[in-house]
Amino acid sequence: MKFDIIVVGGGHAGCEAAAIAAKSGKKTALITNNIANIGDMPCNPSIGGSAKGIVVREISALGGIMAEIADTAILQMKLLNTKKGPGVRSLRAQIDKEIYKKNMQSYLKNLDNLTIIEDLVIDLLVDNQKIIGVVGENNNNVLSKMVILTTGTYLNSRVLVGSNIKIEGPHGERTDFRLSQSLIKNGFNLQRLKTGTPPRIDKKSINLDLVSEEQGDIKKYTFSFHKKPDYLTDPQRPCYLTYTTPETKAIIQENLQLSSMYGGINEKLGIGPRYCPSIEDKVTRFSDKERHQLFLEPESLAYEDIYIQGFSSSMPENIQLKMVKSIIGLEQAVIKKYAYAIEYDALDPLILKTNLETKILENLFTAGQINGTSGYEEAAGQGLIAGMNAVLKLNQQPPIVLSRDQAYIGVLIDDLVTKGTREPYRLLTSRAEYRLLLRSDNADLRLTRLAYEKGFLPLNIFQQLTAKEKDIDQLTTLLETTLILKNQENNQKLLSIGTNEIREKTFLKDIIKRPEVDINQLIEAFNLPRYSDEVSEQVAINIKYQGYFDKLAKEITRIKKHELASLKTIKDYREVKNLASEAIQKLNSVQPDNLGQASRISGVNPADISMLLIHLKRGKNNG
Amino acid sequence: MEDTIIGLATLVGQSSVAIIRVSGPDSIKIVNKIFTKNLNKLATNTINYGYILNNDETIDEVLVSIFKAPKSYTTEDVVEINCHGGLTSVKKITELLLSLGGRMAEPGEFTKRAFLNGRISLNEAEAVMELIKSESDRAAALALSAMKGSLTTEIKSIKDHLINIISFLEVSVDYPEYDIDDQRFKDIEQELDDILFNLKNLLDTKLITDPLINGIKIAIIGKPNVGKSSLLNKIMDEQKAIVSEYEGTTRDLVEGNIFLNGIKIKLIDTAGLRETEDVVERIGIGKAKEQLIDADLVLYVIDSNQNVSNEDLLIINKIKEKTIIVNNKVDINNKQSKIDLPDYKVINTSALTNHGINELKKQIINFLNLNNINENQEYYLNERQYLLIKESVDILMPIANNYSNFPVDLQLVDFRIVCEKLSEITGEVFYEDLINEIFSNFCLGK
Repeated sequence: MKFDIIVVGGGHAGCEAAAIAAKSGKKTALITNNIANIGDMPCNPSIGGSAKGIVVREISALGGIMAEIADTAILQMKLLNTKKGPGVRSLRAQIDKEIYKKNMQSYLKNLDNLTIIEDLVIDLLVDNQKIIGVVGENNNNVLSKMVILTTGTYLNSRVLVGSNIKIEGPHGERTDFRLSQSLIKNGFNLQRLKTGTPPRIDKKSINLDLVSEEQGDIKKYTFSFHKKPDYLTDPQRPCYLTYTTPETKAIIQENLQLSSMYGGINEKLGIGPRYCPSIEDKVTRFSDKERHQLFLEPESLAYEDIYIQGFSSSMPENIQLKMVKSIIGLEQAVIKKYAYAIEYDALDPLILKTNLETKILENLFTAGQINGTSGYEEAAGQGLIAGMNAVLKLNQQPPIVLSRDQAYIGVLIDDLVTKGTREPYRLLTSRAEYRLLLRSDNADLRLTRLAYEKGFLPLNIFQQLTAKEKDIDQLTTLLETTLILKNQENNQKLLSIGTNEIREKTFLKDIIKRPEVDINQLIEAFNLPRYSDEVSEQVAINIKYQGYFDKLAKEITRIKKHELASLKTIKDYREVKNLASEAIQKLNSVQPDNLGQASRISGVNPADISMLLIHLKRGKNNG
Repeated sequence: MEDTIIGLATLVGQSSVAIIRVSGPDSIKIVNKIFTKNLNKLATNTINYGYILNNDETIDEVLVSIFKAPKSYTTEDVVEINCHGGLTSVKKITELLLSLGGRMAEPGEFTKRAFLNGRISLNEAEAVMELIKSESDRAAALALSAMKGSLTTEIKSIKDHLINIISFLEVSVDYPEYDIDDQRFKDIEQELDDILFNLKNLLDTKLITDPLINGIKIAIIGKPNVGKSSLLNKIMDEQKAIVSEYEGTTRDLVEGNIFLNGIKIKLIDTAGLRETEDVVERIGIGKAKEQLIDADLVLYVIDSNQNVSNEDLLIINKIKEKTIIVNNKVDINNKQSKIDLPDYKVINTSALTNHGINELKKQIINFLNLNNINENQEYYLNERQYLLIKESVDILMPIANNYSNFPVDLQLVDFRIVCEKLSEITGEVFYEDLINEIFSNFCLGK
């Protein structure tokens, strides 16, 4: 059997990679060791959140599938940070895990060009530093031009509950060490990471009187562009807010030595995620905090499991039960699944090029948690880009490399391949220096055109985009060129929408600039042509934030000059005068494309950048 | 920093001692070839007596200081040759060193290396420059304190506070459902005010310290025979003792510098325009106009027995905030002359009887804030630093003025920009062209 692209692993990264490859007409194979588990959400029953919600929108804008599948499985939806400004607003939905899985599997099954194979990949087929296929456990060699590894947390995993160590993947799935061995044999360095998951309890065993209900937003949203919201239930399902107690803290502190992660039971201590700490981590690091906040989240309409968000742990089962019962409202709780920590092998993403291809084996791409990230959305974003770039490489076209001012996915990948990561990397808005430009509301305006021009979106989607751009243009021009005169009628209208009168004739655009003015109210009051909510929102943001966009644009221009300074001519950084030895070592290891990327490598200082600039200038003079 | 550089640390010209400084990986090796003792065997931070030889020929009798990396000015190996001053010895030794593999340092290159190697911060480097240029004790004291890094400390403290606020807001953005300290949101408005207060204070120090560094200029104008000279003599008379302490200050009191409280005061006389009676005509002469604009204080002297002409008023009107009208010769009428000029500070004086002179001096001191310039003036700002702080204030003001309506996402953009600017002051962040410009203002050898 010969394929164009093989995707190994059916998690969020794998599904995106396989889908985009197949939709691009490439003969694609998705090899997973359990077909029934494709699209599984092993941990949090939610998609989105700060920064992550924006990634899902970017995936939709680029032609990926996470957004549209998520939209079919919404139990509750919220827009976060509504009061803090559009620069940080983001969607977050509670997702029905079963429906998500079912719809993802049926979507993939219906794709032409995609063959789903159930097998465990245990080795890579390599010829002359190029990957040519994979080896399945059932002794099947599957050949392919490109291979994308999206094995998530399944490489050489161990599940830890107290002193109980099981050689297992998440939720009892199989794990195997042979693919790890194969990677090592081929020259890859692996690192050991860990993550954890909280216990699940039976909904019926919660005392709802003692916890507070959290509802979704009244206004409805979708992750996808151009879709109407259609939630699974009406009204939306609630979550519940509760807290740990001093008793919880006491139980944990007294039994810390029994925890897999803290107890010294586990010698091969993997490094855990700083931003999703276990409850043991929280109690230890913030020991003066009397209580910690927890959310009780529904996992599916199909069963009664409730996920305790914020309470991941690797304590023995009997201690977990005590801990859970000390939580407010959970005094009679019944545990359906115990919490555990899971350790797994991962790559240091410094071995990746900016297109997510490995530097060691040509045509081998990696995406998702194997690259050291955590989170479904981070994985899906990488999977989509890896899939696109595998397709583009087959077509002998240049890859898609999103820049830091273009997308969160760009920030994510740049951080990974430039700085590497030693702990599971999670996206935060604060990682994006151009956060103000990378918004949930403009993901399509940033990315859809690019995806269309590279051949990943059909014409009708592109036409929807251009129509929206045209509307935005029209409304903006209207506001910029329409003057309202100072008269009683106009001033009355202004007062009625909550803003001050004008003293002289004024452009409508300048009224919009006022922070208290809402564009829809203005349009209504002055009888202007109506456009869709997204269009008027976009126009308002552009007008109100123009000054800040200009500030960022200046900054970006300055940085872009550095981005344009290509370093591809330098093979060995020892030939550059006056570089610090740490910089030489790091630069040689990462081999950055350009000066901008070089400046982000840790261990490379501004002085080193100056030296590189001088070296480049000298080269130009001599050349 | 691969090259070994050579520079003359003392002024070119006749002096009894000259210091040639060598810094870089080969400095010890190079000097060893021409010095009579083996530098490798000598301890660091020592001064050693010997000779500089060119093969068998003795060039000079010298003292050589050795500073082994990283305990040196530049953190590289540094060797300083103290030789006889004058051109001959210096030239011969320098040529020898060049022939053995060193190269001439660029202006300010030693200090630049000290900065790039992380031994001093950017504004400490700038302070070294100021110290060299300083012409008065007070200026020197300020430069010294800057070298000790007091500005860096103050800026760092403001920046840390701002970073703390940024961190809090970032957590609230990335973990919007986390039970965060709600009270802090309200407190930030006050914290912002505190930060602005501290920044504005720094700006104000420039008003105080500029005169210390650059000297204060007082321009005295008035028609001939209003008594300018006698008045000046009276003001300066009491300082004569101080004046004569400093050699070189001229006794031509209407031109030149005097030192008052360790502060340099430059007197600008527009008496050159004495030739014509018409003030307008005089002022029309561009040079005088410039001097008036340039001055920190203008003393406009009039004869109390004559009227103030309209043309005169036209001119001083433009600079009324810094003009004191000195209504001289009140002794003649023996009455308090009344001048109806409510916009101006008017002092009635009589150079003859000393009437009003103390009052005038008090006004000069008050006006120029000479009392506030105390011994403990901690920081001074140069133009570059002043601008960065001013820009920071301009960015933070609109937020502070409309805090409840100012969205958090925009606040964070601005706070980060201000942090970057503050980092530019101390040199934690810098851009290549800036560095070259700053250090090129240095003279060679330092």
